[in-house]
Amino acid sequence: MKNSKTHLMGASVVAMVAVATTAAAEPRTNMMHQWAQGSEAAAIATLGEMYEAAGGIWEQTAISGHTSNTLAKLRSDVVAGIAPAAVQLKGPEIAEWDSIGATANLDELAAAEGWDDVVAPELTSVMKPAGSWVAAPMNIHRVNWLYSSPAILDELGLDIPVTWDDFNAACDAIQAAGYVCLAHGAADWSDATTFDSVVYGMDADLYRAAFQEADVDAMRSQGMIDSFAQLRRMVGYMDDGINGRSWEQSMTMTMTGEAAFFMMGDWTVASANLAGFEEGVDYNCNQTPVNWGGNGFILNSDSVVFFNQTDPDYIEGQQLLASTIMSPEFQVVFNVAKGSIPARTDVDLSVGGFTQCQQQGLVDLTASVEEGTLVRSMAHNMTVLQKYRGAMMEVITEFVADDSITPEEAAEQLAEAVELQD
Amino acid sequence: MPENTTPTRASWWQKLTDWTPQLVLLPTLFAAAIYVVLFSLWTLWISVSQSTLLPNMAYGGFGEYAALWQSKRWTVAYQNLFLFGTLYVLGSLFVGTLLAILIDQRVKFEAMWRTIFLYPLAISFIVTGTVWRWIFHPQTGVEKALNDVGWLSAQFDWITDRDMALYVVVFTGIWHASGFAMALILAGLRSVDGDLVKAAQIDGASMPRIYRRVVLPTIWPIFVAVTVVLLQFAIKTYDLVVALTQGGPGVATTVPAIVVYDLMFERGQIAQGAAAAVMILVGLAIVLIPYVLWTGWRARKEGQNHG
Repeated sequence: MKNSKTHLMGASVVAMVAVATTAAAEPRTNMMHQWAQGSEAAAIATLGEMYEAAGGIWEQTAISGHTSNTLAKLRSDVVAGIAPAAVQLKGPEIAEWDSIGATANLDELAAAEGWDDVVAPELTSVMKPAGSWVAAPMNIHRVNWLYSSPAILDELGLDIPVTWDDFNAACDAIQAAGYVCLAHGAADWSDATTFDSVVYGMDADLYRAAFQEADVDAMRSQGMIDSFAQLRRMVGYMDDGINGRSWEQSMTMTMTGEAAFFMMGDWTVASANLAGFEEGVDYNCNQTPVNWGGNGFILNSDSVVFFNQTDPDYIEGQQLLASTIMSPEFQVVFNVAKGSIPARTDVDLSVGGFTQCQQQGLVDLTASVEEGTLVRSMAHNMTVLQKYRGAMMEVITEFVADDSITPEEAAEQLAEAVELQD
Repeated sequence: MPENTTPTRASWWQKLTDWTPQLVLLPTLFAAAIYVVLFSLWTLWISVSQSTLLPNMAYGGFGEYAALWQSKRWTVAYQNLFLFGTLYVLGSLFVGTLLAILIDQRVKFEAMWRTIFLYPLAISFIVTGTVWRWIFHPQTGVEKALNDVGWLSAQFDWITDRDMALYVVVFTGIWHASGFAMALILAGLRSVDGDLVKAAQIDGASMPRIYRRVVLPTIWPIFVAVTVVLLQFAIKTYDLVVALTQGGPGVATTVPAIVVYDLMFERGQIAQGAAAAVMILVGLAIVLIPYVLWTGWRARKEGQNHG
């Protein structure tokens, strides 16, 4: 609480200083984002209200559908010389836009508000691609959640699996009892989401080398072959209807006791609660298995990138928007709605309506930071450039779809696909 | 005739009437030149440029083509284009012809049948794909229905089988387009001179034989028109596959348009996306150039005959 108070003061001081120095400037912004519908649109509307309450003039450009639509619009705007003031963008794309010199510098504001002290360490490197703050994180999603059906586990007297061997043993028992063990809907991103957890759970260092640094030797290593073998085994624990099934349908399979497990990020929590499923009754949430003991956290984060502007009103507005986004008040409202946790690690989650899963997420995040096990998600575009990620996801999704590909071949294909992109 | 004044006036008028069609067509020609030729050339240049996230016009060589052809997803997509295109066009023509001939038999409620068979064309590819995905999916569609009525060993899982999934796309495409083929072919059948058929009947030919040897050959331009329209549907296929299989299982049903879109808009590889787009154009040329040569050859031959 003390922290948030000082932060608020910091924000208002910055705002006052800003107003004082450029008397004529009237902070305004136009934020481009892809959250056009549902609870996410409502959360963004809240951001607009907070922004206006802080004295800014709020405009937004919502581009519905896939991220690529936003990227296409952004690209044409930048080429036309009318870059938007603020854009919702993720991971390595921040670095890409930063490297062509299109982004604005937020270092002063970040220093005044002490962002470096409160933002999770893996995240700061994404927000500061070349050492300067150019983006503000809105949340932290956890990718490595294992949702389980209490009904099935209780009936069979099984514990939540902690290691992959536990998981395999549990699945063998569950399949023998006639249930689907792992609910899944095949798509390149969801197959890769599962594989994120597998590689990470097998060997966190391998994960860093292969998925964060795109190291092809790591991709050819025995560890990667073992990971693919585990993934192959897990495909066997899925039913035959994985193709053409959405992740929400898979989620429902586990929530209704049709399947025992489901691996997906924490947006599941928001969807499940919205659909009327109850935490602890219809589902439990735990971290996906890890063979190395301890706490693991695979992170995904939505963020807002600020592009260079010439109009002083918009420059002023960027400072105010970044400050609003980083405020604990916004982070609470936004993340309660989205199922994620604040990007600031100093927010108290016991108030404001966070669920048990979300609170557990923060506990695990803190533990994971201490243990040095925190990583970013490859599947959710937080690590390597899209061209590498796309190439890797093709190999992973083909491996899931095609039984005839051996783990050795898959590891080799993974490395080759990445080498091809250079 | 007052020959000294009117010739200039008449020839001026004559010229204007001669030129009017050309003048009216000029804007279209101009637009076509820009949209087709200029943009094709531009795409061609982008494909050999250094473009990545943003267009960069500096020359970068043919490396993107090499990388493209080493990617499994692209080779699968390109093969799929030819396989899907061939089966889709032939299948739609076959089913369309069959339906047209059946309706041509002066069946009762002809208008109703025509509407029913033409109806799929009014449904967007997205809706078509989504509904047929439900029908084909083992847990929501035919297989489930059969299992529910007690035939437990019934299996119908083409959509989840990587070898059969493309045929699911072909089937759905044919379902969507054959009504269109039927409508055009039926119009053609109705335009055939009844005396021709009567003459053949007098010669003692059976109905199937009359259709095969007399009626259908006389309306061949309609088949060409339908083929051309269907071919361009096949080449730009995107939403049908996205809704039906999302290109899966794995990459088994990916089509080139999906790859182009992904490369350009998702992965920030504009040059490679442009290279893929150029390859689609090449694919189109492989089909169309023989056709253009053939029509040219045919026109010349007919000209000689008349001469």
